[in-house]
Amino acid sequence: MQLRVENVSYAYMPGGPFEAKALQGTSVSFASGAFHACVGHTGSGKSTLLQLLNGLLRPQEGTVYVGDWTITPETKQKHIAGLRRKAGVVFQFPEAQLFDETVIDDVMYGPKNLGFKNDEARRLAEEALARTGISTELFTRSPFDLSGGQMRRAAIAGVLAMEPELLLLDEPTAGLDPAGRESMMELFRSWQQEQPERTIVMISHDMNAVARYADTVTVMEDGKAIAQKAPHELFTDAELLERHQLEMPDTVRLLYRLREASGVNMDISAFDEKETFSRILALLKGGVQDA
Amino acid sequence: MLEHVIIGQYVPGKSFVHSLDPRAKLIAVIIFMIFLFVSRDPLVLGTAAALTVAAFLSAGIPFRFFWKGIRVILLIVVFTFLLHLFMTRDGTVLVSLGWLTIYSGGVIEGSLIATRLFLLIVLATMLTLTTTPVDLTDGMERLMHPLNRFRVPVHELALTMSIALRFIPTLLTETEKILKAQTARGATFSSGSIWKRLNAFIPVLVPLFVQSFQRAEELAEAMEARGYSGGEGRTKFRQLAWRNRDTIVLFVFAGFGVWSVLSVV
Ligand SMILES: Nc1ncnc2c1ncn2[C@@H]1O[C@H](COP(=O)(O)OP(=O)(O)OP(=O)(O)O)[C@@H](O)[C@H]1O
Ligand SMILES: [Mg+2]
Repeated sequence: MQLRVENVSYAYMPGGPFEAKALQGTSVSFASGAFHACVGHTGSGKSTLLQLLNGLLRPQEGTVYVGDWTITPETKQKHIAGLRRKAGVVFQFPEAQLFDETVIDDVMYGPKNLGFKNDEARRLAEEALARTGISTELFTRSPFDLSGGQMRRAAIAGVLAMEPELLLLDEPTAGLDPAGRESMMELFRSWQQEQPERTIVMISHDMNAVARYADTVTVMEDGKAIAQKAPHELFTDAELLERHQLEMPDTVRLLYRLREASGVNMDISAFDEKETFSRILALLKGGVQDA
Repeated sequence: MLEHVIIGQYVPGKSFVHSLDPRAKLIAVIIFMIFLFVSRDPLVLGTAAALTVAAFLSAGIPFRFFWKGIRVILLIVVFTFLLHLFMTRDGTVLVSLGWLTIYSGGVIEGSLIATRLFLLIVLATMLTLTTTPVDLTDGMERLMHPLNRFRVPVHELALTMSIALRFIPTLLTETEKILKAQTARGATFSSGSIWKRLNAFIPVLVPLFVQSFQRAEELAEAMEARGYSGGEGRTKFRQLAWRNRDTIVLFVFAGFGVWSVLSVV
């Protein structure tokens, strides 16, 4: 699903003493069929941008284009109800949305709202739960009896079960352990790659995950998208990262330090262990030749 | 819409009203509340309105912000007005449309109640907008202190109240978040039969309750961990200071009360 935001501004509580300008005339676009990441400081407007992309918030200025929908300040809520079917949102700490008596009922809530019949909704829910790694014997438990990580998975299943075309993720791995983070990211990537039009926009502070999984990275600052680059471009630009106080992924930092220390010019864009290892190996081999 | 609700919110400032002792403000509002409902004299009501306007102007609250916040509450005022308008069967008939008859008494009664309610809401809102929740409960605790002798748990009441006030904004933010999350899952809150609409709120209320209980538990643990053990023998870090301006304000409101009574007898 193709996304485009044009000169959009949004302020919370406009006109009052507590006015917070979250977005200030920003423009950015996200291509269809890709995994996009969005990074930036706390308060830079990332979550606000995400909510504009599925019509939960309407821009106060500017235009948002999502697939076939056009959202302007005048757009009526009714008009974008159809967008909700296509765009799934996983909010920060989504386990706060669990409410039903059993896990399976909770996951069926979304599909049922979309008008699916009971058995169809159950099929979608079971599929989504299986995909997120919730075992069958947990289906009939109360969602409040699950562990934190399982709750997160159940909540995400609740969104996937609605079969969205666009998945909007707000720090989906915050608070998970490293293994949980990785399996969740793998889940999102395989979901996205299953069908050509599936698109993900993910907000994250985890640069390791962003570097490994995203096709593009958008940098937000003071309510504006100030850069959109491929991970290997962004994360090897030490000066740019410094300027916007963004962290390097661990692998890049390691190679960067090695390059500084050795003085040997080498490619530092490596986002997983294997790539990093081969870069180090190359450096060592080169080093041996030099000596 | 929820983000505009200003009940329990405090707007920092250095105005005259901000600087008053919370006890003075509390007593003033209580006097106002009681005596506003004593008199039907338009002059007394006019004075009440003047006091309210004076309080608003000297508090330095931006008008647009205030108006947006109070709009929702005004629905209650309008509703009360209409109720009295249609229900009062006094005076001469003004309008008669089939089953609907409006009497002159209804207009008078409705306007009277609506004006009183409106003034009261504005003044009470001024109190919370210009007083920090901590000051407010401190003031309340001090005012109710004598009741301790009758075994009223004044400190506990004040604490409960301050916690409640503190968490109103949090609760609103949380409600809004959950509303958004469920809306994104296809929930609709504004269509279908009454029964359907009420049902639609279950997915919002359940998480809200769960979170509130969790928070209550965490708060209790945090307080215990820091050695809280009730009000007995507890001293105050923050002291209230009564000044001349507080006495003057009280005199003005007391004067209003006396006049209000005099206009009746
Ligand atoms: N519901 C709200 N009410 C009032 N102000 C808000 C609200 N949500 C966000 N803001 C303000 O809008 C600005 C942008 O917030 P936003 O949530 O979009 O930032 P963010 O980039 O997602 O930050 P984080 O990384 O901390 O999640 C901030 O200044 C914030 O204080
Ligand atoms: Mg955010």
